[in-house]
Amino acid sequence: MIKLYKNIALTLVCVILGVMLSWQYESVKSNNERASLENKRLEELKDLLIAEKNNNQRLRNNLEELQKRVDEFEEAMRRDDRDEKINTLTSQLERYRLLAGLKDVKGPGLIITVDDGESYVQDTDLLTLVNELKASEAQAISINEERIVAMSEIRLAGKYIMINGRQMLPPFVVKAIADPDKLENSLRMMNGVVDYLKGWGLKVTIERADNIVIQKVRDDGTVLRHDMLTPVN
Amino acid sequence: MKLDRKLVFFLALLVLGLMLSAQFKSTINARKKSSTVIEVSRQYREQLELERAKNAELLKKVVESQELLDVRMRELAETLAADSEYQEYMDELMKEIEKTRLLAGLTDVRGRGVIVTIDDAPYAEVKNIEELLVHDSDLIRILNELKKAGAQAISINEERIINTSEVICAGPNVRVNKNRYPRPFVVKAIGDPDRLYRELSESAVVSVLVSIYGIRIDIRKSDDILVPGYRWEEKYPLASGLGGES
Repeated sequence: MIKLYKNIALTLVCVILGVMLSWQYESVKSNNERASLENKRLEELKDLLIAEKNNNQRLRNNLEELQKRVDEFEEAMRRDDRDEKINTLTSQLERYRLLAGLKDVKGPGLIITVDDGESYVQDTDLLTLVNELKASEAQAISINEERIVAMSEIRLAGKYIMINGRQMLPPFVVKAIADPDKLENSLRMMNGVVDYLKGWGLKVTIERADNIVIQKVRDDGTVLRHDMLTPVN
Repeated sequence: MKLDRKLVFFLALLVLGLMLSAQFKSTINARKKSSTVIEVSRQYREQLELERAKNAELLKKVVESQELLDVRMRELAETLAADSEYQEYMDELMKEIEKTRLLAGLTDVRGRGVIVTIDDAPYAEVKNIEELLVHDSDLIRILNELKKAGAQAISINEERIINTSEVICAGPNVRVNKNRYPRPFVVKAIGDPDRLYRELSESAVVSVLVSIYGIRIDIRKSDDILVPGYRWEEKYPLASGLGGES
């Protein structure tokens, strides 16, 4: 009889111990999980903060640049020099032309060649590449000498690809003016765009150059159209 | 025999006691840790609010400076045009400036076109949650369809698409012109509304996204769309114009 009690008591103690052990384990695990979730949220918050700070720095730079130009205009206005006044206006026009892609530009960057391999180059391949170049702050881009502007389409038409309404065949020579190191790093990143293109069976080569010349957009009214746009002041 | 039993109980209670204190410790630690996390995240949030307030203020100043620059530009042009000898030349020059700004995407523009709203698929049981989300590749392809259909000006969430605009995933958001925007994505395109509507709604990209992935895409024609100008005009430090040679 005593032996039975003893066994029951021991069993009970063991059960309690077991339950506690698993409870403890669960509780510690969930504490850790919660902590890691909170840390992740913290990281996201930190990223947002950094992005916002960078954004403000850009705005400050813009503001400085704009104020400098306002000063130039005011200075030109004060001085009794007609040529200087005209020069101030035309140099402003040149800045706008640069932004619109209406000027030939040169600078350091990369020349990326994409060619058919086990499969053909598709419109989406070039779209992805161009977008990646823009994300890496490329300042001017062309594909087979066609300048990529805001409304440039990339259209697959049979075995051709059409850009700015012009038919082309591979290989596609993509020129980009940008910081070459930064650009090459982001293109060659693991699972980056080079891996993506090669994954589709395409041939990709990257070449650096110090003096890439990118032509201005064809200005014959077929690429840059504005007949449906009404400017708002 | 009696000693044995006592020993067993003693050991069992000892283990219980140790465990109890260990658990207590762990809970306290977790509390402490999470309270520092809360504290740090509170600080981040405050800083974020501060930066956002600064952002709004700076943006206002940028817009004001842009307007001031416009005014100064016009003043200068008018002064020059006052001389009848130069009037014609100045008219041409100012027209050229306005047109170039329009082509660069620096001006707010109005026109007819379509408004496309793109949102994640409604929640569903799927193996991979990614399948339900709108990706940058979807947006780029939708923009490309609009460009193919002759769009002349496009914005995403009021961010004007210019020559250098990227559309790229940044965590749960999409980055356009270096600014992050959450879903839903509202794309405005000025062009021929019928053509834009037809070509986009019949495109492979839209039909795949809608029928296979359940992405919500709403395309609406409109007779009056306002697409804002690009607000982040910047220097071009690398790509120097060839100047007189061009």
